[in-house]
Amino acid sequence: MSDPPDLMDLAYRILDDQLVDVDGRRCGRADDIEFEGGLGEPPRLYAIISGSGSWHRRFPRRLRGIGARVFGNGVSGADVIRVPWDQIDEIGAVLKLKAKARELGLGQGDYREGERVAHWPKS
Amino acid sequence: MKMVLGLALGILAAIGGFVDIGELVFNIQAGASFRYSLLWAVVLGVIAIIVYAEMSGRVAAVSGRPVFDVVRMRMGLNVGLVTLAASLLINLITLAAEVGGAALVLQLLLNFKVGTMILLAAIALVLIVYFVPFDGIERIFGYMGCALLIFVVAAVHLKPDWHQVAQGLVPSWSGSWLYAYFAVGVIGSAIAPYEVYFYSSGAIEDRWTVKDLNFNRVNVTLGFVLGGILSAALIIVSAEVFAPLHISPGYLGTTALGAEQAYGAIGLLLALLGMLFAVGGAAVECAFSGAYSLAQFAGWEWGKYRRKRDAPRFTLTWLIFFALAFVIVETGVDPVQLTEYAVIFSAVALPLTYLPVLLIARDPTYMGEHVNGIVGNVLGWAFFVILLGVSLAAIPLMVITNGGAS
Amino acid sequence: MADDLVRQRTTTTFVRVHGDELSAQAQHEAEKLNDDSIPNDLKARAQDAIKLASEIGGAIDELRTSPQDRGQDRRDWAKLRQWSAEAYRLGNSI
Repeated sequence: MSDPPDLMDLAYRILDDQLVDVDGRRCGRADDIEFEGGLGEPPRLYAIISGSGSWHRRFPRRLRGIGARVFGNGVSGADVIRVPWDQIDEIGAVLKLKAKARELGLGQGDYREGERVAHWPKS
Repeated sequence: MKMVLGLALGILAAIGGFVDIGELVFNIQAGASFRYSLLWAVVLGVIAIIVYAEMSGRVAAVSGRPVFDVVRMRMGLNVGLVTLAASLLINLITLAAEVGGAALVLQLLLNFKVGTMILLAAIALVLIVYFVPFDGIERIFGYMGCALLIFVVAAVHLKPDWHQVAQGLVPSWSGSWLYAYFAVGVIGSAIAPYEVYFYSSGAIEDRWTVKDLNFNRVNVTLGFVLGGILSAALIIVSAEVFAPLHISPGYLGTTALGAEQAYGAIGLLLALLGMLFAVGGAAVECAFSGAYSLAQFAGWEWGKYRRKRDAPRFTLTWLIFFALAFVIVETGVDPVQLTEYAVIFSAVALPLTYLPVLLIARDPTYMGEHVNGIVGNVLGWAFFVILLGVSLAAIPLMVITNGGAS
Repeated sequence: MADDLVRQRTTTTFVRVHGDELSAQAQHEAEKLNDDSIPNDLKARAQDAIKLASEIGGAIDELRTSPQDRGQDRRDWAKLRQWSAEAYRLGNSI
């Protein structure tokens, strides 16, 4: 990879990008990003947040309540998954992860429904 | 040689797949009311979809991003959600219109009760999509939809005044709101957004790269131009058959009469067969388009070539779409009326998905050297302005003209 | 449709199904005109229109019932042509 772009470009580039695991499986989007760093320290990208439970925080203030009711409150491990930044392998058209989606808790909806659909004919 | 054959087959499928219930309704009505004077709207619509589809295909091939991926990325979550909601609703209305249209055509062929035909149409479509490999689905509906070429043959057979036809290709203004409404309808029918979502998602599934850019250009240009000729033929046939008799076609059966007038029972049967498969194919594209949009926006696994268990939410989405469309049609709503709403609302929402594609297509960060050139940018922005105008005018015109009734 | 039936350039199924749509529409228009409040100066023409719509619907129903009866088809076709012209004149007079 070429020189990493600066932090603001990174945030612009990765927010809302598709997550793809090490097996090439699509497993959610970068719905939010987390920074760490104390007062006076430069902020560092810490984690990607994936899951519709994080959406309401990005809505206009008046719509956050209904957004949380419709899309989820942000229950960690359920409708919101935290992907540590060091799990990102590559930034391109998609964000490639170093591990399988299942190991990171991603793509739960597809795993769950996949078990149901697996019983259908020609599935 | 293999590539030429592939291209030829792809174009054939595109011709049969270009016309859907929107053209069958709006173009026939436009020809009956205004003779050839709205042919320019067909040309404008065809050029617009060529520009839109070419950009979408190029963005998919170069950046690996289909339309709703681009929408989410470029417009962000909030605007993207509004766009998604609008697109899903419009897709659903369009799908219901196509399923209802297929049922009406089946009834014209078989004379069973319409309720039975709606059930037959819905079940047949679901079973075909579920069990038949996708290449087969494309070929079946695309090739059989080419039976609609009977309208092109009929248009020539009816010996129109070609001088007047040529004049119709030049934009004009009749001064009536009804004319403006049909102009919006004809343009809106040509640029059905679900076709572009489907096209760009297909490009990702077929793993297009920069090597496929020329194929993309030739495919969209030839395919949509030839489809546009078919679309124009509907106006010409209607102008020759219905306009002199002051008939206002409000039924799919009336549309088929146009071909029957030229070639009798054979013309009728080819027209009905072509309509059935064109509308059926459009229904399949619509259902997948809705599933693509939702899955891409949410980041789910998706793909018509994936095993169903590997893209389960994608599979469930298109199945639910068909089920909802069936319920809508079963309420007894007129599919022709539903078509008018679908086309008009599609026109309203069009800029929301066109703009992000245009912004990415001209962004060298994503497109590198394959970014829009000067011509691409001029055309891209020119059509954005045109489509924005169409979008803003659509609903007021629908209200003023009472949905084209006055 | 009647024209194509007389010239045997259509199918029975199509005439029955499409004819059903058209006759239902004619009936519907007659009912709408009957139920709407019409200005006095148009009442006579509205009555003419209602009568025309009913007759047109009736002729189409005859075509649907026995499309193979060539004699009946020709008579209905001739009547429909005449009524179609009358309907156009009536519409233009308003």
